[in-house]
Amino acid sequence: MNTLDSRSLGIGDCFAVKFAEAGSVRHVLTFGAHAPAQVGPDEGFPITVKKKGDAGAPPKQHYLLVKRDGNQLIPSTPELAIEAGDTVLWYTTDPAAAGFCVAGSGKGFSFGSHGLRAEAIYTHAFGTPGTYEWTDPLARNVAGTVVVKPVTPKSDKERQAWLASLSQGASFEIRCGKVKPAKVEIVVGQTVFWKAWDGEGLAIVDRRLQA
Amino acid sequence: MPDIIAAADPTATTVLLHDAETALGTITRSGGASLGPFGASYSVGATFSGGTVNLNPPNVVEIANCNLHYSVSLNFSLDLNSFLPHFCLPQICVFGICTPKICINWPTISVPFSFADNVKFTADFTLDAHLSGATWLIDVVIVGIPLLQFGAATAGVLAALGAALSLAMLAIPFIGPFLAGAVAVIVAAIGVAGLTGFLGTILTPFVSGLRFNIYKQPKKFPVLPAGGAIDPEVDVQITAIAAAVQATDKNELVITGDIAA
Repeated sequence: MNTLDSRSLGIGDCFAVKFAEAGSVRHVLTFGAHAPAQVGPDEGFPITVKKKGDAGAPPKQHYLLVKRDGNQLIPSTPELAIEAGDTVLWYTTDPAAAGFCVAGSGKGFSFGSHGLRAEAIYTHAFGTPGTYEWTDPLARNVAGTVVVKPVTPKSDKERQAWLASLSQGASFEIRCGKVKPAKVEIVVGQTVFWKAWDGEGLAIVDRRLQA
Repeated sequence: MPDIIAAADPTATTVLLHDAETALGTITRSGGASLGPFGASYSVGATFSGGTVNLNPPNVVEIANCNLHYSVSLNFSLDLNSFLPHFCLPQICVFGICTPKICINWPTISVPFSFADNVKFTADFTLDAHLSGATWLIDVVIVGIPLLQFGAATAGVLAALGAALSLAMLAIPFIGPFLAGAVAVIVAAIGVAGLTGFLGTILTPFVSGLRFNIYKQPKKFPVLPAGGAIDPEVDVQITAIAAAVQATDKNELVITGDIAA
């Protein structure tokens, strides 16, 4: 519950990908950390990436809320149409859908929460205090630490101050196998972003889950 | 004039009572009851000990300060959404990407909790002499339902319950800053009255209809042992037994019996 693992997205986790090129993309939603390396043209759900209509318009962000329907996971918009340069973000608020993985493929590229590549972002809201050491299970040198401090408000004013602090996030950037910064400190309830600028695909996983 | 007469003063009757309490052993029950605004399933074991007997003619046996020892294992579940404020992770934007506002539904938790304590009661009992199979029994049977007085210990139980709640909730994500307040609200919702009501509900059945067997006598009573193959045991049959509290020079429990050869 509320574990740090980009391969298994829960409530408070998000996975986002920026689609730079026009084309046809399909994505699947699976339970657990196992996702296909490639998604076939008849599998999953389509995302149509059109050429950008107005070159001067800012890119948009599209949210796909993942819910469970019987034994299946489905996105809130099963057939999504976006423009090149837009970002799609997957998340859930459904406890029955928690622990899902996103994987997708387009012409000449693939993406997934189990393997963050260029322009992919994973976010995790930390609900429990502690020290979280994370690594990529396949590239142990890609690692970092999140220190989550407890908060025990003694008054409503202190609680409001804590709630306001939740709008502040911390972040890691991963570029050429290097992680910056090596460590972030937050308070419980705050969210950390991981952005992969390049690479062959990495997962963000609590070291304790890899033991 | 009865054939057999036996008498026991309050001291001797108290000894009989303590033997009866030991013989009764541990009684167990299980079920469901209200714990303040919550439902709780429970299993409870109880034993009786101590107490002193006062004999009050014509037929009242008062047992004073009898101890009811009980141990309760209970499990109650509660929907934390009823006690915790609505909580949402706000939208956060980093790297030009914004997370959505995500609202957290607090879970329903199940809290196991065990405790043991002791409560004293005083009650009037009446005598019941009867034949059960081939054995005459004299029981003292409670009259009415005594009030069980739960004292200061219930506050301690509530505090321990609060600690168990904290433990059960500690692992719930995002609850930390709400934990102390939630525990205080839940414990207050149960309250001393809720806990006392719960204890009253689950323990009253142990004393309602309470019966201690203080005397047991087989109907066939040997008066002479066998002297040999041609000299068999000589028995008499106890055809009737009665028990009463009588005032002589002091109050006594008097048992009378009739026999037939």
